[in-house]
Amino acid sequence: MKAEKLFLLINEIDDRLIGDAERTDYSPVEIEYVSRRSPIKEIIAFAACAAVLIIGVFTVVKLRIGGIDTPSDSGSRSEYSCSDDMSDSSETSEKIPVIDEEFPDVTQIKLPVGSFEEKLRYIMLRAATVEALESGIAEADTDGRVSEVSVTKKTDKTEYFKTGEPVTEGAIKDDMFVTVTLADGVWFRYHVGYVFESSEQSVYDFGREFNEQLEKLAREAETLGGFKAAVAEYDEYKWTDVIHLYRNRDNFEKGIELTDDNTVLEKGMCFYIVLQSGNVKAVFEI
Amino acid sequence: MDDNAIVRLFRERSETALSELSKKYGGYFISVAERILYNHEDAKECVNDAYLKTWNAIPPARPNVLKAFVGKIVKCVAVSMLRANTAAKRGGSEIALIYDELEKCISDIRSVESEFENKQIIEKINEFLWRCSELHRRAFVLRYWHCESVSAIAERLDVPENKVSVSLYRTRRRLKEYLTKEGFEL
Repeated sequence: MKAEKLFLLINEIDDRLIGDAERTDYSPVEIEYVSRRSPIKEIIAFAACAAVLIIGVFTVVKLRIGGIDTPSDSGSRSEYSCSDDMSDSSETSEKIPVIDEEFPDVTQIKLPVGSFEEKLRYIMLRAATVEALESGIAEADTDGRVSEVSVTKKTDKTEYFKTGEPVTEGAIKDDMFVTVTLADGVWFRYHVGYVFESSEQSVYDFGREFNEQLEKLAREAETLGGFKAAVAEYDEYKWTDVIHLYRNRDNFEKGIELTDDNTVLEKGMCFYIVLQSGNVKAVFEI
Repeated sequence: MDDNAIVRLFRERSETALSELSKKYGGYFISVAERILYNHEDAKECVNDAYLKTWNAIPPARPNVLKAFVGKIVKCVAVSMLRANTAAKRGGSEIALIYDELEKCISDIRSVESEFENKQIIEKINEFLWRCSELHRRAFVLRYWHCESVSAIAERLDVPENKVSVSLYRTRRRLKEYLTKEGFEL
């Protein structure tokens, strides 16, 4: 019976998901934000957007958001000549997607120049405090697309960004998680100093690239120790937590692991690699 | 008593571990089992069986989250009992509805038999759920792990029942698409 099978598979999900579901600190108010907007607000917003478009033809509008310069006035990249780019998606969507070049050390998804999503990234990458982040996003979110903004930090007991300890004020520091969720459920997350990704992009792409590279390294390595060293060199963000090696699938299922770093890698051996996040990111045979 | 202390009692083979476990989570385990078995006495029997299995499992197991660890055992035992329990299968129980929903969710997913593939799918489900929005993720886990009714989930999350139903429908559909994309299909 397939349903029973899936039910039993779901039964084995991550313990933290199980605990996360039972939390009592969930506030649905923001989720309902869009549906609760009154029509008059939408009319006002529409009128305001039209006015901005007209004015924008003649003047360069500078937005200053809680101490964060928006891309339009940063002056760091030629694409950001004026704020009109932000409101004219039909024009900007044809531009080449880019990463934020001022943060070369952060692994980023590519976002279309001038899109709202890019603007969010711009703010999220630069916000030095929770207050600046919130005011910046509030200012930029003229269409009411954002449903939730959160900053969390890891604790000893929680590795995932959503179950980390909330940070409601003060400095945003390295290794914290800044998450912005849109009303349609799409989220953008910045693991401060490391990765900027979204629920719809990059996680899979980056994961696939990461997996492919791990498999390539496994094929090239001669020993388990050699593979670990190669991974350590490649995995600059220290995503990899534990590397398990098994003689074959049968041993994998039985949990009979090869741990000697001098083990010579052979065809048919099976890797099971766990990331820091707790998610298995790579299970493959050589 | 905190969970670590209870686990320590298990590891020391102290029978107090079982009474402390029951005192702390017994009500929850019975309610989960009851949602599956649709019978209070069966649920109590199920939980007692699960306690025995827990006793045999710890050590060597070192559960990170005791409630989830034992909860998983309770549900496995309950599903085993359910196979022979026609009353619950006839309908009316939460599990009958859950199976019906999940059946639609996986119609294109091939049957997986090996432990290797099971682990892969579980990890894919984990990945998928962590990438869902909070509402979708929590509603899904409350429904398909905790076996809560839609109305109970709506009350817990303080959203309309219809919103929960829509959320579950979308999450099931996306899960199906995700697993298909990951190669778990016919």
